Amino acid sequence: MTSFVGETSFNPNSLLEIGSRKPNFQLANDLVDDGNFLIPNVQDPAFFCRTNFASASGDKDKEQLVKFAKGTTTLAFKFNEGIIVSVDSRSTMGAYIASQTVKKIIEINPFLLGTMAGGAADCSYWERNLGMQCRLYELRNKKRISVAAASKLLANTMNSYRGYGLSMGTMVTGWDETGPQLYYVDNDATRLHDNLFSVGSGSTYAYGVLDTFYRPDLTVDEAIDLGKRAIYHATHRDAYSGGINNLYHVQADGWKKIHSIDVNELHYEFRDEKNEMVA
Amino acid sequence: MDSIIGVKYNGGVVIAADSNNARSILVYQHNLDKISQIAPNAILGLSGPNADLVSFSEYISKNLKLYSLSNPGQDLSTKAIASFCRNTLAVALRKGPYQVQTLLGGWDVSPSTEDGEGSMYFLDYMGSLQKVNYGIQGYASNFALSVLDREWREGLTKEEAIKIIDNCINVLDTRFLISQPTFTIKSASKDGVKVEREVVAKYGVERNN
Repeated sequence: MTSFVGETSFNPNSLLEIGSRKPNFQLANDLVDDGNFLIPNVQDPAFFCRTNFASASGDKDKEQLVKFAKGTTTLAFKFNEGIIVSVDSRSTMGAYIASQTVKKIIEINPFLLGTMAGGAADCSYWERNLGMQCRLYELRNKKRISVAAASKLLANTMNSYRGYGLSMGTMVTGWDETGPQLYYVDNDATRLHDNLFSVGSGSTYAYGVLDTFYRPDLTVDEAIDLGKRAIYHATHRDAYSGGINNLYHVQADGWKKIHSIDVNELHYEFRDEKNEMVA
Repeated sequence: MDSIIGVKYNGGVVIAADSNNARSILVYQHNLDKISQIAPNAILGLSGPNADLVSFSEYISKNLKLYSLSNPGQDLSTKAIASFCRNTLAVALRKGPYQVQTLLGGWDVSPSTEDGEGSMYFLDYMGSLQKVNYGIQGYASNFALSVLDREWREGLTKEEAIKIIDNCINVLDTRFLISQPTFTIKSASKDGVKVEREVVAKYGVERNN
């Protein structure tokens, strides 16, 4: 798909050229490309983007003209019966709650899910873009892309725009020929493979509950309950998380949406549960 | 926050690296292998952000593989590999630097000794390259370099070298603020690259993959 402009034939020495991490826009010249867009016409576009369009954590973007909707708790974990993906739905711009109904689980295709943390725009744009790349892979190769390859595509995109102020912390999950898979990919092109991740401002709270009660042999109902509770406790302590808990279960025949529950309802449900235990 | 410790011994090199994968205040994983085999007889211990470790070690090892395929039977010496790494870092420095601090260990056939010999290079992200007998990357150097200064000598055996590394790790356990519960240790010698100590994740959730 990507044509290397100015190279007519394969030249092994060109692979030795350093500075290989050129942004895609310098390389691709196709009608359907990796999702390139115009960059600001200034001397140092990376610096310009970083200082004007960055989506740093907290209120570090308050001096910028462009402020971002962000603040999140998302989590995903693998267990014997598949993968649970559970998220909140709040989007904040500084102290203001911009939305309580954000869909932070992005359905890339019937077998792949992505989660959204960091800049909402960057996540939806690049995961939509990933969906396109995965579809092209399917058409070209007559088989579904593996989760490993899909997450690497996203990580490569992030790598080519490093330093440009992108903000994205995502988990790419799905079921492929090798079974259930879970990857973490973020804007500095980190790509990790593990059984359990949590991303966002509320992630430390979610990790606390998750690490304490996680077992690989959880039943499906227990796993759903754990995913739900971890998000609830994160929304309880993290002001930037809240709204609705959306939860998906990734199975061999694709993902399935399990529920959308207002965390306020969960609060009273868990309070009553504790009261009953005392009584 | 990573700790990479390397010791040259008589007939090879051992490199140890902690296995924490952390950023900011969060430890993502306890089982990250930061020592990459980049050639049949060379290992690279890396410290820095995960993305840079992966992209730098992949870039180096894939190019070394390409070189060995295009020039069969003429594997690069450890010194040549070190120069290639240095050049890669130096050229990338003014474009998009790789944030990596590395220790390169390798083994070469040598006419002077029967077994050949090991050599080690200390490389920082700006492309400064030094040939050393022992070295440490990261905060660990503040605590453990003195141990290496005291204990290293010419003609160590591999077992003695690993014992010295264990002494370094002990100092880190008692004096270093950051918890590094597990280390990987690898060696490069005439037998190729050997894993001397596998990562064992003591903490974190039980793994089933």
